[in-house]
Amino acid sequence: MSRSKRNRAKHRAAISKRPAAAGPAPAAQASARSGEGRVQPARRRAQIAKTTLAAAGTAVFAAALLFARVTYAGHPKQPLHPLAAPPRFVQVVRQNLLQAGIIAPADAPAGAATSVS
Amino acid sequence: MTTNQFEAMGCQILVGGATGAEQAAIEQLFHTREQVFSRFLPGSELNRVNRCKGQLVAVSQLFADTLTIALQAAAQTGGLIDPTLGATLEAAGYDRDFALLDDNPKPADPPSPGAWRSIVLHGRSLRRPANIRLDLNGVVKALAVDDALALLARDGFVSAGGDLALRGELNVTLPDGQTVLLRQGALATSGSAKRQWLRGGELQHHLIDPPSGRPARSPWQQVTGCGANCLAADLAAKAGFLLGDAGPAWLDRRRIPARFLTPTADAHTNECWRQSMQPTVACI
Repeated sequence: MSRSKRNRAKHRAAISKRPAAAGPAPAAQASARSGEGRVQPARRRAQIAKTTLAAAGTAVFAAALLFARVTYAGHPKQPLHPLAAPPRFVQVVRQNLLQAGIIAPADAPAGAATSVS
Repeated sequence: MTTNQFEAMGCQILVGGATGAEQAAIEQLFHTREQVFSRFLPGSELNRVNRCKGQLVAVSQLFADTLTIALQAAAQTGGLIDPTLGATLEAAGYDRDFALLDDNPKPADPPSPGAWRSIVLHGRSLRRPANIRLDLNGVVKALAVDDALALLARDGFVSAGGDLALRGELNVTLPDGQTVLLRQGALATSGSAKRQWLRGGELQHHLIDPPSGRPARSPWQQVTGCGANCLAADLAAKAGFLLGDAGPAWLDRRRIPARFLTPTADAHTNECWRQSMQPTVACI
């Protein structure tokens, strides 16, 4: 049995032995005062325990997140970029193949010919 | 201007304004392209790709670049210039060099329509349905002319079987004997006047209508287009022929001058050509 439990058991035993009509005995009053004195450290310990648990939980979550980023295949490991075709492909596709040349009325005898090949 | 000529890709190549070294480089370029893209050389890369049973095949960078442009041409012409008509041309009887082609009483095999959208090219990896046979000759000759012209350091021209691109200015004779001044770009002529043959008593030619897979029935016999380069001119001429009556307006919407000859030698021009022929107005 822990010390706090033993203390609480003693406290309950002292209260049960006290006569009902009589006021609190001097020993019981002292015991009550010493019980109040133990509450504050207990609260501090509880607060420390809560803080420790919260910190441990956060640390475990962060570790799990980091582990997932490193090991899970679908998790992005680099900054994300929008999906796009290679620049050279885009350049070729956007190029207009059907651009016009320039002709004018003839000004001299022909130097070449166009015909069905 | 000095001119030299040689034969490649089944036609006469005429080069004007080239030095000796440039001439040699141009001849090498045409012969290389023929080795890669010929339908009639068993060892050409095109035939090796077409023979490949699997759907996925690795191709050379030159092949990938050319196929990319062929697919782009298909997209920009609404599928009129389709690189997947190799089997259809063979079904129509064009399965050997045109000089060796003779009339055949056997009817043409059933055609298969174009399927350029089924081609996927990623880098040098080509994926296509196993029954598709590619034919890139819709763009190969024009691209070769453009690349050959880029080898010239000074003004000059390159003409492959009548598809002509130049740097500088040159007066050019059209198929019906008229002459125009080509100030910039290229002139190309396509039609059914030359490459014709009979299959089962039915006239066939090499300009296939992709939706039907059969030789196109067009009111035009020859169409001449003027493009910024030989590829543009050749695509314009082919599209103008395949579109038939809609050809002149289609090319007008793209500001491309074009001239159309009927089988009876009547000449029609689109609005852009007529504007170009006015002395002070150039159609740009």
